[in-house]
This record gives sequence, structure tokens and C-alpha cells, in this order.
Amino acid sequence: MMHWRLALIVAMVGLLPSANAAEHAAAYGYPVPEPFTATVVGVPVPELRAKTSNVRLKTGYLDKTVEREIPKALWYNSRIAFLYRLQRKPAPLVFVIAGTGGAHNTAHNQLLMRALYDAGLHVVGLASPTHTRFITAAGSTGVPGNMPVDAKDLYVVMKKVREKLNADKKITAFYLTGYSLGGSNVAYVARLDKDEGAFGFSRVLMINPPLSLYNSVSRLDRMIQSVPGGIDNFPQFFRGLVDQVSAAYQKSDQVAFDETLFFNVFKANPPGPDELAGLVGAAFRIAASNLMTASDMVTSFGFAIPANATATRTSSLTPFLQVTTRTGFTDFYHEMYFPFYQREQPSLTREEMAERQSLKAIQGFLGDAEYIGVVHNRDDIILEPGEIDFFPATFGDRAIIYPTGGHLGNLPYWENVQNVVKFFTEGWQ
Amino acid sequence: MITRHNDSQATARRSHRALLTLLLLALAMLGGCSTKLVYDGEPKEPLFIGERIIDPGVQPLSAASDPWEGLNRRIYNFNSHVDRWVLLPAVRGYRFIFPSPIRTGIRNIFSTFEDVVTFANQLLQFRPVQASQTTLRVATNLTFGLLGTIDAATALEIPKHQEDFGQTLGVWGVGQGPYLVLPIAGPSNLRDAIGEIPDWLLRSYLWDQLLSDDDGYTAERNAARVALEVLDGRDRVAFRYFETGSPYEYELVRLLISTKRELDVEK
Repeated sequence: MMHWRLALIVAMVGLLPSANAAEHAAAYGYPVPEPFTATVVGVPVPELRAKTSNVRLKTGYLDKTVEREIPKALWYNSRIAFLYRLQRKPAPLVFVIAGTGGAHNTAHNQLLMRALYDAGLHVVGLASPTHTRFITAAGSTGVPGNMPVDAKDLYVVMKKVREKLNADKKITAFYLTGYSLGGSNVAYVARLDKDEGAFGFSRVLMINPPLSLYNSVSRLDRMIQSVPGGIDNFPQFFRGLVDQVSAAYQKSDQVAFDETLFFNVFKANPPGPDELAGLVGAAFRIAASNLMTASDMVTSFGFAIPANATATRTSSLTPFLQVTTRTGFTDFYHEMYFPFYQREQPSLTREEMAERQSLKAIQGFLGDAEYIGVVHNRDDIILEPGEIDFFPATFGDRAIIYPTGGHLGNLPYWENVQNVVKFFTEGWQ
Repeated sequence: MITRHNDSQATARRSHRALLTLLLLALAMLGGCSTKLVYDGEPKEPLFIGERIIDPGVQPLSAASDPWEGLNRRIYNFNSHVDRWVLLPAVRGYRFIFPSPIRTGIRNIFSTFEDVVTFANQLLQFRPVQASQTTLRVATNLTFGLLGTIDAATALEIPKHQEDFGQTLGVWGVGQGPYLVLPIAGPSNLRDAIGEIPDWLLRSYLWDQLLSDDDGYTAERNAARVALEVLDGRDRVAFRYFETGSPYEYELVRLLISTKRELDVEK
């Protein structure tokens, strides 16, 4: 997935009108006014991207934190990976949690970590609880997306990482941040920590979190319908993407599969708005397919793989790829996720379950916790109309709402990164 | 005379034995490579099955022909171990020992040899214009590029092409055949795997010319060359096994590689 995103990010550099003065341009200089384009292209002007050092981030590993046996077909997921870099001198340590399906070392995680490291903090990057490796090796139920459960699992991993780093003497405080679903995760981890107290987080920043996980997932699910020709055409659409990238690779005189190459691909063939929404939907579909499959294997639920079957190291998974790119997240929610958790609590209704995954469920806590802040975008495509108002209403001046940026498109913008750093180094007030 | 040949005969015997061992190993692996699921009792039906939710007319996402999938998956897994425990640590050592300018020099030399292989295949594909560009490249790099250590041709914007015998076969109308994961070398297909042989013979011949001296063939030098070639080859590729975060990595790699090779031939 990263490749196409990267592809498009760089590709659009030359496509955007240079003087598209958005109405807020005077106050906020992020250059892409349209939210879907922003989501896909990010910050298309290199000079406007945040500058960070090139410091090498190290990879650490933990043994699995769950009792269960690792499913044979996921044998390579037996350890939990994390990214880290510590300062020589005493400093606060900040945990950075990735978004839906993200690994410990996503581009966003690395950017945030480098910026915060440059500002003098110890940094640790963690995968999303929806990443297949986390589901397999650290997901206590194996069915991710249940915010209180995911928070507990993350908490266990964070404690183990802290143990492994063995650097308590030079850690002066613990901070926490995460983007997208990771933004919701950190809210629930902070809530849990208020009771458990293992870290005593004193600064927590949520970056573009969903308000209602169910609403956001449904929205993203529907975007697949923007694929030209509809869902039946998804295989061709996907194939077309692979073809385009490969074709540019072939035509190019360069051997490297690098950014300038992708730039040329989409310059020749710029995607339309429907195609962009389709692309976001497709990216999400693939992430959903990975998640559902890992979850299905870990729990033997029988979603796409027969409940009494084991996939071995050499079993063909191709039929399940066809099925799980076809089913959406909402199918997963209604047919597996909800029934799975209803087994534990038979009186649970679908509405209650959906409400429980909304930040509204912990609104009181979020409103009172002076150490929690949020950054968001008024035009974020994962929010239903009106949902954005929850954030200024709940957080007051602990919220920064940018006028544009789509979903995370403006995260690498210099001003955004500067505000993240400022939140952790001196606070916004 | 006799002593000189003894050396190379012994090498040949050793490599034959190694090849035989590999073949036997491959046959042994063929045994336990079922692609089927293992059922505990009568198969139960899952909630979603393809036949019910996908129209039969819909083109499947991953269409490459893969009749040897079980063996391929096993070799893919095997390769991931070789990568993790042998190749990547060796590449780390290589990067530690040789500073970046020297590694670039080594890369450029190998790249020049590849250009010669490309040239031969361009002739076989009747592409005189591209073949002359490649000739110019090689000539430039061997002279101004100080025997191939500096890529002067790229600085002078002489286009670099990449053609191998697998592509030549493709141009002649041979299809890819079944998908094939080669031990250590990685994803390929039957046609391209066979195509490796003439390319490899040509490269070896050229290297023999370069590395032999008046005393005859020098096996040690050639072994060092092959080792460097493998290290440089791995160093060029950023791919890491099982880092995609997808249970479908095998399928995704298969789709990407077969699409790429299709386009390699079309271009």
C-alpha cells in the first residue's frame, strides 16, 4: 500500500495549480484544498514538508505477549517489533502509535519520531493493534477494534518495551501520541493509565482520530464504490494500479524504483476525484482484508476460512484473498466482530457496541484531562458531517482544527509537525 | 598441465555434488508441500465463500498460473530464512567493510557486465538502436569510466536498458509458464528461470577472460567474484521478507512479479 501512496504523493507535485489560494491560505498555508487529493498526495511541495534529521531509528523485538500458539500460516509473526531511539541525557519518552493496519515503522511514525527526537525526546514507535503482527502476537482476543481491549493490549506491550529498554533512570516523564486510529488508541490508553498508573502520562496528543470508529469504518468502506466500474471491477482496478506503477518503471531509464519515477507516472495520467476516492477505498480494503484474515486465523472463527481448518505454511490463501477483499469492514463488524464479543456478554446490542467504540464514551474523561490535546482537520474524510465539532467542544483550547488537510494529508506539513513538537516540549498555552 | 586441471576438476566435482544435493533436497521438499487446508473432522462452511458472494464472471485478483504453489511457498519460506540468517548479515558486513564509494564502484563493474548481457539479448531481439546505445554505454564506461568502476554513461545520459534471455524468449513468443520461486534467487517463472542459464554462461565466460591469467583459471578469484555479485545484488534490493504486514504477501509478490515480467517483454 505504501508504494501507491508514496507514488501519488510525489506524483501530484507537478499537477497542482501553484496559486490555488484556499480561503484560509493567509492563515494556514497547506497547499491542497480538496480533501481526497490531500489524503492521497500529502504535502506535494518538498519545501513545505517538515525537515527532520536523518537519525537512525533502531528496531527492537519482544516475545509474544499472548499465551496462544501462533497460527502456522502466520509463523513469521511470532515476535512484536518496535522502533526506538533514546537520547544520551535524561529526557521524557514519547510512545507513537500507528494508524489502522500500520506497522511500527510506518512513514508517519518515523516522521513523528524523528521530529520529536530532534526536539530532545526519547522515542518509541509501536504498531497499531490492527496490524497483523500485533493481532497475532499481542492481541489478547485476536479481534481488534474494541478500544478498551486494544488499550489493554497496548499497555502490556508498552510495559514490556519499557522493561526491555531498561532506561528508567534517564526517563523523566512518559508522553503518548498516535495518528488516525492510533489517535483513538492513545485516548483509551490514557484512560486506562489513569486507573493503573504504570506510566502516569503527562502529555497525550491525538492526531486525526475517528470520533465513532463504526461511522468512520462505514465511510471508508463505501469509498470502494467509487472504483470505476464498481466493486466487481476491483480486481481490474487493483491490477491497473500495479500496471501503471510497473509500466512507468519499465519506461524509465532509471533502474531505481524511486520517487521521481512515480512522479512521472501520474503526471502523464493524473487520477480523477472518483479514482482518488476509489484509491483510498482500495487501500482501506486491502488493510481490512489483512486484518480480517489474521483475525480469522487466530480465532478460528470461520469468517472466510472454515472454522475447523488449519492453514499450514504452504496452504494456498488465494481463495481467501478473493473473498476478504470482497467483504467490507462492515461485513466483518456485523458477522464476526459483534458476534465474537457478544459471546462474552449476551445482552450486548449492536448499538451499544458501536457507542462503546466512540470517543463520546469517554468524553467526560477527555474534557477533564488537561494533559490531553488533539489536532484535527475540518475536512477530514473519515468523519461524518458535523462530527468534527465534538473536538473543539470537548477540548476547548486544547484542540487545533486546521481548515484543510483531508485525512492526515497535512501531517507532514511543517506547521503541523511544529505544533506537535511544541505540544510536547512547551505546551500550546 | 595436470596440476592446473586437477584444481578445476575438483571444483567441478564439488559443484556437481552440490547441485545433486540441491536436487535431492528439492525432491524431498516436494513431498510435504500440500496447498490444502488441514481439516479437523468434516469440513465446515465459513460465513463467506467465494462462490456465493462473487459473480462467476468477475476476474480474480490474482491470476498467475501457479501449479507448483506448495513447493513455491516452501521455497519462499526457505528463502526468507536464508535472507534473515545469511544474506542480510553478510550484506551488513559488506557495508561495514567497504565504504560507499567502493561499493558503488563494485556495483558499476557488475552493471557493465549486465550491459554486455543486455547487448547480446538486444541483438537476439533485433533491436539495433537500443543495442547501439548499449554498446556506447559499455564503451564509455570501460574508457572514461575507468574500466567500468565509474558510471560515466549515465552522467552523459546514455540510456540504460535491461534485457535478459527470459525476455528474449518472451519476444520470440514464449509465455511465462508456471510461476516458480527459485531457491535463494527468489520469484521467477519457468521461462525466465531457463533464460537465466545462457545469460549466466555468457557472464561467466566474460569473467573467466578477465580473471584468468597466464597460469590458467583461478577458481578462488571467481568464487570471490560470485560472492561479491551476490552481496551487491542483495544490497540493491530494499525488499524484506514478511514486512508487508499482509498474510497475502506471497500472492502480492506473485502478482507484482508476473505483471512486471509481462511488461518487461511488452516494452
